Amino acid sequence: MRKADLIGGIGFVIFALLMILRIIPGETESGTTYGLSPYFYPTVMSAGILICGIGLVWQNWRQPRPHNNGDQAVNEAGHEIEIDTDMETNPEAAPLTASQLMMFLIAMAVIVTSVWLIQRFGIVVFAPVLIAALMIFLGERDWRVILPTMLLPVGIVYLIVTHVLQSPLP
Amino acid sequence: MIDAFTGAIADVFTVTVIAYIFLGVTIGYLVGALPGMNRATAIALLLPFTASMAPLVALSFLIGVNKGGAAGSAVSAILINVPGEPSSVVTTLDGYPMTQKGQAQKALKIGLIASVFGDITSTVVLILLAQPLAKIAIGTGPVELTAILIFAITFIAAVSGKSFFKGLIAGFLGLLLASCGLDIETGLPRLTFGYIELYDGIPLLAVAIGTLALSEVLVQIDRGWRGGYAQKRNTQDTGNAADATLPWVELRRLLPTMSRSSLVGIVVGIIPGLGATLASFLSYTWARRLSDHPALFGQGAPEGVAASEAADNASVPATLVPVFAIGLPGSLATALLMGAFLMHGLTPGPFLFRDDAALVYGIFIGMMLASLVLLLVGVVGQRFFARVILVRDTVILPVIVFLCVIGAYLEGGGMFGVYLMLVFAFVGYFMKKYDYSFVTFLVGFVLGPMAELSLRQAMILTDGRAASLLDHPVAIVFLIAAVVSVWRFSSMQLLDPNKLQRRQHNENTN
Repeated sequence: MRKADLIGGIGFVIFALLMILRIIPGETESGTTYGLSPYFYPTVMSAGILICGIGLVWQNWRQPRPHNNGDQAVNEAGHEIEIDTDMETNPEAAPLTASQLMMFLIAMAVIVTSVWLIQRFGIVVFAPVLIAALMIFLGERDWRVILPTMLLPVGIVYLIVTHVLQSPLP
Repeated sequence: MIDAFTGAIADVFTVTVIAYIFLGVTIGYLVGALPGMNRATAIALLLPFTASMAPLVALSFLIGVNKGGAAGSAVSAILINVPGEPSSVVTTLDGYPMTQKGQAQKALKIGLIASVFGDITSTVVLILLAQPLAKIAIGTGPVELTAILIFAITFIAAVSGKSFFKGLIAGFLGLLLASCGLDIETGLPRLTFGYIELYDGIPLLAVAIGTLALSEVLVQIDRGWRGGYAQKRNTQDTGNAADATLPWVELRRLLPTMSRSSLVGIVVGIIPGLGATLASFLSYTWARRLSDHPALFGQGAPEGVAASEAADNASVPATLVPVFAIGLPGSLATALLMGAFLMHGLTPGPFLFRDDAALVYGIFIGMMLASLVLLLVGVVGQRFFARVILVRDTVILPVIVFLCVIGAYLEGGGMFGVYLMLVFAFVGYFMKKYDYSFVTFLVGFVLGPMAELSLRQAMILTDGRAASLLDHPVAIVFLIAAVVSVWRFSSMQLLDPNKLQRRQHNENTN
């Protein structure tokens, strides 16, 4: 986690600087103000992110780095100290492994594609496809389970939204 | 007051309100029982469906979901050793050993009665405390409110994650995101990137459903990537009739534990950011310390289940005390409930008692009613809920994704809201993975408009001079508390590792 936090901290520092120097001035229209300008509040919040980002980088920079053997670390003075290195040495304990990231990206791709299809062809047609695609992706192969699961929730929600709430659906 | 109260009684005791309370509690119980699902997710998914309801109906329904979810989470914790919510982790310690001993039905009954006990006690405290606190809070001006908000965000960031800085970053991100839309003073677009859909700000539901519900589904998908979704869950309920009974003598013995644990739950619940999980742990530890048989804890002690569940459920209504008193949500579920208030044109806080007393009393009566409904639904549906937890993830997760899409579409601004929800699911996934507190993020987002308004007013009132703060002693107290918490938590994390080691070594040897 130390390395990830270090990168995250640097990322947030860059993000905050971008917000303060480019995005807030560029994406905020100025007008006559009695009290404070429209820039004030988002700039203060971005400054908060900047300070905390620096704090996060500082905190992780000073943390001891682990040796390869995992249970020993060396501090800045070169003295060995013991730390909990589960996150660093055990891939299962890492916050995000390559295979997990792959699963996440595939699932996101399935969902985004289905949402796009729902937008183009309507929810009644493609919502069951979204459910079925995800079920198959997750390993469900029993059609006696897939069929009712893909049809029932869509039917019930369609009836509630269009007839009870009287809202249109795509 | 009497008029408002009698009016509220007439408003609540209608078929519609009672039916929706029943529905809310049942759905909440169901969702709470499902492993991996939680009540905040359920509220986020159901919020869009309440838009066309009357405010009292909608809020009673969502509060019912909140209460049902807290109680239902014990079911999977007891039966399959998988907590429905993090706050029920403690329930597994004794609940599951009771199941292994063939006392599953008894454990479920203890869990349910303790839940209802904690819930009713806490609701009474909420009713008694909220209005007096609101009367005090009504005298606070923008300077005091700004100071309270600064302290609240700082404190929630400090206690809701492992890293104080990451918590604060999440809080600032939420506050920053809330500034998108038309500027409150000039009415000019700010951070809208040319999208007319963002003129009203980023829709709360797109943020809530994305960061809470869909990102949680994505986390569960990657967690079970080695083929864990299709596995059937098994319960070890022997159905032994003798062990399923809960005699009055045994229940009476649990009453002191339930009372103490409810007190812990109430105190922890009122303080923003601490949450039900801490309440459960504290009350469990306290119950074990006071028990005549502490060695039995962890082996299937009924007191363990009672302590955990009473504290867990007592913290639920207690989290609404700061919402009604000063309009400050301290947890995910209350942030969403506050969003529901705002969606119906109501501003939670001290002025709600003045402006819409009948509604507030109606909500209070609805909450008491929901507590009784909780008992009824729990008793009648116990065996049904025990079967629901056996439904596989391959069925649950895709249906939740579908509900996320519908929810974001209905109240998130159409398909734009759906795509926005997907963006926040992406963000939420990485926030969860890298421990950036999404509680602080969402609380910051909900409080954003109020924070900006009070900050602007405070700056105008004080003319931007720090010396003017001397006229506001309450604000000074909260600002000092915020500074102390920043100093305390950041210095703990920025401390030289050698000094930290030495300090820990000294503490261990002393």
